[in-house]
Amino acid sequence: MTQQGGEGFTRRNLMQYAGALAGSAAVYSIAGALGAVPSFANAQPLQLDASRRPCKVLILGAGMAGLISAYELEKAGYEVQIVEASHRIGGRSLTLRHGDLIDEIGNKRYCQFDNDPGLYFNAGPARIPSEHSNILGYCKELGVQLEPFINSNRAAWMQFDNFNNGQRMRQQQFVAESRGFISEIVSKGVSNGWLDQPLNNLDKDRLQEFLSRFGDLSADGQYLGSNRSGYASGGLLTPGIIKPKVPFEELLASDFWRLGMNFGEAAPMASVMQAVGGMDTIVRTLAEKVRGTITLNAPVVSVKTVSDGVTVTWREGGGLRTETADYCLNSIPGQLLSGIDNNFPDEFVAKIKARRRGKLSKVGLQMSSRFWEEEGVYGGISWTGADITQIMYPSGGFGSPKGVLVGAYIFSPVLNDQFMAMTSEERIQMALTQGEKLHPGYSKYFESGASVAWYRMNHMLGCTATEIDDSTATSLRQPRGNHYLIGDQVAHHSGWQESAVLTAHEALNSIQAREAAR
Amino acid sequence: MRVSFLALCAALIFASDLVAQEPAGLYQEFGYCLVCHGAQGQGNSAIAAPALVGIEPWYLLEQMARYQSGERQEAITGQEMSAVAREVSNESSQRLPAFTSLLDGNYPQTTQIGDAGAGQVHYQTYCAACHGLNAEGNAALLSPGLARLSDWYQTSAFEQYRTGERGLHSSNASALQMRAVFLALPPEFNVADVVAYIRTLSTIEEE
Repeated sequence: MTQQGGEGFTRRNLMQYAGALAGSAAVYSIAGALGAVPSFANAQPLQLDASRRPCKVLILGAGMAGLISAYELEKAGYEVQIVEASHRIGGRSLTLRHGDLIDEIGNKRYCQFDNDPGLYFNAGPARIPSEHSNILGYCKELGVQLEPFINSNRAAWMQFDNFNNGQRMRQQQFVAESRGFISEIVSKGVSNGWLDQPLNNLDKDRLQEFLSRFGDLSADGQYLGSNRSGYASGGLLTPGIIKPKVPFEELLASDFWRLGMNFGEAAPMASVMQAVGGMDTIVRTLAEKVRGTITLNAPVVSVKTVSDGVTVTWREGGGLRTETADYCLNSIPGQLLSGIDNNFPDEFVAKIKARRRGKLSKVGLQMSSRFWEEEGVYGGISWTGADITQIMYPSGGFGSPKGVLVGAYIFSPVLNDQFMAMTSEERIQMALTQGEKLHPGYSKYFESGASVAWYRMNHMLGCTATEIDDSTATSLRQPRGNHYLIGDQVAHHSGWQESAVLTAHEALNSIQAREAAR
Repeated sequence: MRVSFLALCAALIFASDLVAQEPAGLYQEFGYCLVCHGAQGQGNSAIAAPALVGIEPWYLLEQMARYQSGERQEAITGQEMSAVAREVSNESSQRLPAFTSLLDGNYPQTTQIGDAGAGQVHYQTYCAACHGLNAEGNAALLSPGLARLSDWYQTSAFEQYRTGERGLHSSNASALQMRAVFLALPPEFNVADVVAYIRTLSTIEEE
C-alpha cells in the first residue's frame, strides 16, 4: 500500500495518534475500522473438533456464555449438563412480559404488563451491534429474526433544566445549532488566516465547502438557522419556516453534549439490532436446542478441581447432588463464587474478590397510548439531565395501540444507589415524575411498571464487572485445573453478549487443544 | 395431581445415591440468605456478607428486627439486608435459628495480620466485660459473640462504630454503648491485634 507524503492525516498517522492516546487496543480497532484487519481478529475463531472420547462438561449458569458453550459442545459430541441457580434461563438476557417474576432480593415482584406479546421490556441487553459478528452469526444459525434497534433518533427529545428554560427540544435542533456554530467559527478562522498553520496542507476552498455543508452555512459562511432543526411550521403545502437560532452559550450550558448527543456514534453503537419479540428469544432458542439437562433452582454449594476433572455439588429438589465431570465451565458471578466452597488457588480467589459489582438499573413502563409516535418520535432515545437519564421508545410495533417504554436507564453508580433504596412503587413514581419534563402529561398514559436493579437481582447481585484490569481478566480466563471461568465478567469489555460468547469460545478452544494433546 | 408429582420427585431423589438429604422446607424458605452469606453460610467478604454459621439465635432475631425496622441501614450492604429482612414475616423469622443451625460452612479463613498477644491485654481490659472472656457473647447485655465472626467483618464493624454508621440510633442502647466505649479507647488500642486475639478464641475449626 502506498503511503501518502506530507503532514496530513494519513492512515498511518491517524493510527499512531490513536495509539498514543489509548494504547495498542485502540490502534487495533482503528486498523479494523480502516479495513486493515478484520474486526475481532484478536479473538481466535472457535475451532472445536468432534470429541474423541466420552467427555462430559458441567456448565454452571444458563446465561449466554453457558448456553453457547453447551450448544457448541453438543455439536461436537460432548455431553453437557447445565446447573442454574435461578428459576429461569437467560441470566441477564431477561425480557419481561406479563406474569414474569422479577426476582430482586428484598423486592420480589411480578410483571403486570398486559398479556400481549408486543408488550415486553428488555431489562438486560437490548441491542446487538452490527460488528458483533459472533452473536449475529448465532442469530442467523438459530433462525432468530432481527430488526433494527433505533439507537439514535434526532427527532427524539433532549431536556436539561439549565437549558431552554427547562423545556424540551428536538435533538436535531440542538445538533444542527451546534454544528452551525462550530462551522461558522472555523469558516471565519479559515477566511481570516487564523488557522493557516494547522491547515496548511488542506485545500481551503474545499474546506470552506465542507464547513458549509457540515454546519449548513450561508454562501458567505454564516449560520442563519437550518431546516435540519425541523421547521417551525410549514414545509409541504406551504414553505417551511426555519426555527430561530439558539445562542451557543445556551447549548454549551446544557449537558446533552456530554453523553447523549454522540451516544449513537461510539464504536459499537452506530448500527445495532434487536431480536424480534424480545432479546431473550436468543437464549430461549439456544436452550431449546440443548439436549443435555438444564436444572433450574439449583444453587451451587461447592466447586472443587480434582485429578483430570471437576467435582461440583449443588442443591436440587430438597437435597444435595454431586457430579464430577471432565471439565467445568463456570459463569457464576465472581462476587457470588467467592461465597461458594472451593479449592481454587489463593491468587485466583483474590482476583475474583478484587473485582466489583456493576450497577445498572432500568424501568419499563406500559403506556395506554403510543403518544410519542403522535409527536413524531418513532423509536430512539430521549435524553434528560434528570436521574432517569433517558427514555427509550420501542423500535417496532409502530402504530400499535399500546407500548412499553424504557422509562429510565440509570448508569451513574451514585444514582443507582439512590434508586435501589426506593421501593418498586417509588421507582416507578420517580420515572413518571421525571418523564413529565420530556413528555408533559406523561403520567396519564401510565398503566403498569416494572423496575430492575441489576445490583440486587437474585443469584447475580451485579451486572458487568468493574475495577478489573486487562491482566486480571486475562488471568481469570485461564483454566485452573479443568475449571474455566466464562462470561462477560472476565472479558475486557463486560456487559456485551458478544463478550460472553467470546469467553466461551476461548474456553472451548482451550479444551480442544487439551483434548487433541491427550 | 399434586400428590403424584411430589411422589415422582421423591422417587427420583431416592433413586439416586448421589443425593444427600437436606431439610428442603427451610432451605427453600431461606434460600435468599445463602445467595449473599455464602452457599453454606460461611460468609462472603467480596460482598461484605458476614458468616451465619454459629450465630446466636437471640442475636439473629434481634438484628433481623433492627433490619426490618430500618434502624440498621449502614452502607449499601445494610440497605440490601434491610430490604430483604422486610420481606421476612415475623412468623417466618422464628424459624431462622433452626435454619442457621443447619449451616455447615467452614470457619472463614484468616485474611488479616495482627499480633494476638498484644491484642489479648486490650481485649481482656476493654471488651471482655460485655462480650465474655472467650468472646462467647452475653445475651443479657445484648452483646454478640465475636469468636465466630470473620476477621474482615469485625474490622469493618469497628470502623462503622467509629464513623457512626452504627451506634448512633437512639433506640439501640447497646449499640450506643458500644460506640461510646470504642471512642473512649486509648490510642494504643489496636483493632487488628484485638481481632487477631479474638480469632484464637474460636472453637470452630478453620479449614
